Amino acid sequence: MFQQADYIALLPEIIVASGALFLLLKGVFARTETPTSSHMHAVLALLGAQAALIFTWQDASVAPFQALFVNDSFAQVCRSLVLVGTAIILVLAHHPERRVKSYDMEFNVLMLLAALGMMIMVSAANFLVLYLGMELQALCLYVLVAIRRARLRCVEAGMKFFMLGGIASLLFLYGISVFYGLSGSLSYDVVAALTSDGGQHAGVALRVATLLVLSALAFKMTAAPFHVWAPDVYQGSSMRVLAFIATVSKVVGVIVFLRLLEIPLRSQLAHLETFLFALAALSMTVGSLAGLRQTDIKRLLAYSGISQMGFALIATVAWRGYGFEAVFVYMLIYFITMLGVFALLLSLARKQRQISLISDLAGLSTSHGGYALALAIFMFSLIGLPPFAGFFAKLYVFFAAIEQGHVLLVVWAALMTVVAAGYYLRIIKVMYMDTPQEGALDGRIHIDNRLIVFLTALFTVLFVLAPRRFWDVVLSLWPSALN
Amino acid sequence: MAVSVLFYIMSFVALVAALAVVLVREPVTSVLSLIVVFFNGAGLLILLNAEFLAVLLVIVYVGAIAVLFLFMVMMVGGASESAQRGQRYHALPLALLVAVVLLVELVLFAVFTTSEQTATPISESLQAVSNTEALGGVLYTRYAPMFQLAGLILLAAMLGAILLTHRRLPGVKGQDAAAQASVAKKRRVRLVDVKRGEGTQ
Repeated sequence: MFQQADYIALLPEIIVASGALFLLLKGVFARTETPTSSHMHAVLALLGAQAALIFTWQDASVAPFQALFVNDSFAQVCRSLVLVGTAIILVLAHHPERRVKSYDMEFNVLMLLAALGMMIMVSAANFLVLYLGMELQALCLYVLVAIRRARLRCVEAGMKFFMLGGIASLLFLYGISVFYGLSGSLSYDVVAALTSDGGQHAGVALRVATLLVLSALAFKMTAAPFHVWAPDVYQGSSMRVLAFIATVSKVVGVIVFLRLLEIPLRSQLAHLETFLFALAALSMTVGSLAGLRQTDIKRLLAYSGISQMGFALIATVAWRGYGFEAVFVYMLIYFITMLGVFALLLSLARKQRQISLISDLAGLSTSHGGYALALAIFMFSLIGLPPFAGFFAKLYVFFAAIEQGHVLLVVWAALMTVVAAGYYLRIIKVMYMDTPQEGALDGRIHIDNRLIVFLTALFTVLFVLAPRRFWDVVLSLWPSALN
Repeated sequence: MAVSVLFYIMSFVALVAALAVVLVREPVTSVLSLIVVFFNGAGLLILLNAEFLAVLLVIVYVGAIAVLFLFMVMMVGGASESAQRGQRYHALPLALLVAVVLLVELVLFAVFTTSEQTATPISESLQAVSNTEALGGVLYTRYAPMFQLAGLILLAAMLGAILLTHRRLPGVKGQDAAAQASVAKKRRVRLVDVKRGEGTQ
């Protein structure tokens, strides 16, 4: 029934799944293993899958498993994004001198399974496959958030995430069941065909179902008003899990959102404009204003993520032009910047404890001048100041929106950028001007983290040299169905 | 005729029981009402000629899940009952709003969908085989990748449940069956020669 080519196309997923199962079995037999070995295995599985992805890079026309999956170059790139992103976070999260935790082995298994779920999500061509991928990823994330079971705050965060995530799954399922009722299939192509002649019959039901599906994804990418879980969950999770949720998981949500708008829901876009407009406007307003009063770094990152999401989504209202590409570029730049931020935050400690308050960063400029500079660059990039990468991200998004006549939204976005600049600048002020109250920041930053900080900062600074080329590469990757 | 009478009876009972699940104060009654909902749902599936799904619903949901719920409710007890009494209805407006939205959606779906659209059989070949066979035919062939994926989801759920609940905490007493079975006599019994009048000290 299936050809060999089908399995080859899914080889990276198979490798990640086998890696997770192998690690689990190894954990049963080797009880007294060091955390380093299971961590090494997880990274190896991810890199092996990435190698398989490169060697089996195929033509976009092949849709594996009778079109349950897509294999276009956009999906390929997104899968490598997941693989490399997860591998980097695993490497960053690991310090050889870190205290051994009883759940270290399971942590790696869950990270692998979550990465697998995300790979399935970005390469799905069928709503049921997408749902299964989403559920696999979400279940792993719930457990990862609550994994430090002894702490009340973590359990609370895990519980909130689980409950609200369950509701998001319900919305999604209700939406796709209407799609199935209308078309008799869950494949993206069939649903796309259905929407294009829709309008007369079942137009309203279709529209509500579309909204339900998109709301579930807005939950994944923490766009307001589906963002309420983010601050509490971010605060409750450990920094390494947060690094995973706030970068890879969020970007995957956006990618799936864009692909759904691009292919199955394309003909609905004219009706969706108000929804997308509201999503963007609310996200940037809520994220920018609520972030101002935060003192906890993780909560601040949550609100920063929400407002950045709002800025990115501005371009979705410009779907007639190059809006979606602009969103994708924005998220790529956000992803790289945030990797750098987390590489720093994961390794900074005060009195053997990871920092949690913004005021803990005080004195960073004297103890680690280079890293303070890097963090300042990331913050300037997140604000969108030239000449850093974040400036171009905002430029693309704003241009795309203005081109389609959404001047008001862009003016509001510019205003919110200024508001949000308040908290990014506060971090810089704390690093450079405040004197630390007690104890010096821990001096040892691991070599892996140094490398990632250096590379991401380099990208952020040097982006100005070739913004056009980056944009062209993204355009050439974009799924061809739309153009 | 008989089919529609049965349909109305079973959907009515299912709805009433579903309401009872959330409104009844006693948790055990609530779980029992849930079982009634499952049974009536199974009946509705039989009316739709989906007998395999009906049997599955009874076996899995009534046989396994509802029984687990019952166990849980009976073990945890009614401790939370008094805490809930005061705030049972505080989320009512929100719940009504959600219910109205879903209802409107259903009605729109029923009204705006022309009958020939919904009545189209998904596949002619389904008429010839029993639905167990038809389901098995696609589940393990065309949808095999999804089936595998569902297996992985269950694995992740199991891993998570074990990880979050089963943990060896210091100071908690427990049984170690292997240690109990491998105990030798000399490690438990000490034979002492007791001198008369001195006791065992």
